[in-house]
Amino acid sequence: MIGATAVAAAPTSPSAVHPRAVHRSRAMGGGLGIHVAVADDTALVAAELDAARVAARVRAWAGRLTRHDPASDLMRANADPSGVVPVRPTLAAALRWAADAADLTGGIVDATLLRERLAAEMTAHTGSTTRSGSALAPAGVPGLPSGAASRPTWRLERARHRSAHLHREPDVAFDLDGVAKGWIADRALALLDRHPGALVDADGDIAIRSAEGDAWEVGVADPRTAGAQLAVFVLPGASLGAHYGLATSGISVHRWAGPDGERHHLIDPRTGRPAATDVVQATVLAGSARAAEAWAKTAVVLGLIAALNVLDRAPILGAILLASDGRVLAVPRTTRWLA
Amino acid sequence: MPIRTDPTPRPVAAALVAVPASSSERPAGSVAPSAHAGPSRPAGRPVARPAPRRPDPTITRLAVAAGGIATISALLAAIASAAIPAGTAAAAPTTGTAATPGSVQTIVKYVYVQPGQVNPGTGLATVVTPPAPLQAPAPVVTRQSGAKP
Repeated sequence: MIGATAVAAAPTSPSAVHPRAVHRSRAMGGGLGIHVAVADDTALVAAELDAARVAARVRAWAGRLTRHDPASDLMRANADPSGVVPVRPTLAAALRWAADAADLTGGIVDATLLRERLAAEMTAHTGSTTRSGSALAPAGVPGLPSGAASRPTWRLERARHRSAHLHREPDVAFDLDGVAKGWIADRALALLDRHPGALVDADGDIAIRSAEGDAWEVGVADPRTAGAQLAVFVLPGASLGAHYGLATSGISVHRWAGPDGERHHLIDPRTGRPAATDVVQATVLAGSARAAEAWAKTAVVLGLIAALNVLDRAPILGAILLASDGRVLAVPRTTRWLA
Repeated sequence: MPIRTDPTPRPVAAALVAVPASSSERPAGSVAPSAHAGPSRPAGRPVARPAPRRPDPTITRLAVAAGGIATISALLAAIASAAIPAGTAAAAPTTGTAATPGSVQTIVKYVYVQPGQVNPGTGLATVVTPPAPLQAPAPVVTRQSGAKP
């Protein structure tokens, strides 16, 4: 989980007006980048220290929320057989966002699909899977399923000191992939608010605060060619700091061969199986990284036409989709933010 | 909001009319005969004043209910039409063996981000702006989790 860290001078972006300190390390099974824009060069050292401090916090949060460590808060809660489980503040806050994300996306983003995901991974060899959760309701809201009303099988009850009590049905187990990284990026960015601007790259899910007169450039990786980019976003600043979130979800990295063809890790909660989708990758620009992550995952699960239809009305700033036929399409308002 | 259909007059309206004691056996809201007495009655004797004639409340309430239903229907129709975003049109299939009765095509708007891409002719999409040119790579990249930067 914890990789080597390095502090380096930032590469100068053509749009950057503030010097930037950069901290790169590993977290959440991938890369963590923290970029801090400062007023002048004299503030670089302090910014580098701040970035390192925030990186340590990110690793601590990720350590509590990972499903890959049986000792994490998440997995201990999953393993607890009781119907009411006390959870500590970080997990409680992440679960609250998971509930909000489910509401936002009509139940497409569902943090209770751990069993389905593990089953899908195991059926790479056995060829069968079962769904333990309740089926979503038929679509009601245009373009989105109205599943949120039928799916709650858990809830949080606030307790002292920002902790909570998790009430759940016996078969509910949580997987915060698709929910936690954007949330962590936003949370880390908030710790850097004494600097004019900052960017937190949590393994590809990015939270940005852009200062007035400044701008951040962020490319969209092309999963077909190493180092290639599908497009470049330019995100300008504002007097009080403009907040952005960028996240990418897709099916071309975490995939494996199964007896009935290739499978991937994005579970469609309507079927309990890997989503049958013609979207290879979706990138969403929103006002926060957590919202961008939720909508990006939703776009992949829904498929191309449904995703374009939903994203056109979603509270986002833009979206770029890579279709399985190789086309790269964007919601029209995206063009405002492209280089 | 529930609509009152009880024809019983409101108590406060009945209390405005002075009613002789003998009238207590009459149905509530009925007008006593003495209410039509002329001015030759002795002064100081309680005189029942004629109750103002009012329309049948049931008819009034039915009219209000009908108007309310019509208003709500109009509002719902307006909301339903506004929920269809600009550029989205529902159209019956114009041809086709592929079209099933009652099927609807939704036209969605998008732009091609990379040059040289064309609509494959599915009839499901419309290009609304020219493709944007691809720029130089940026130092920070959003990517799928687990992908190499």
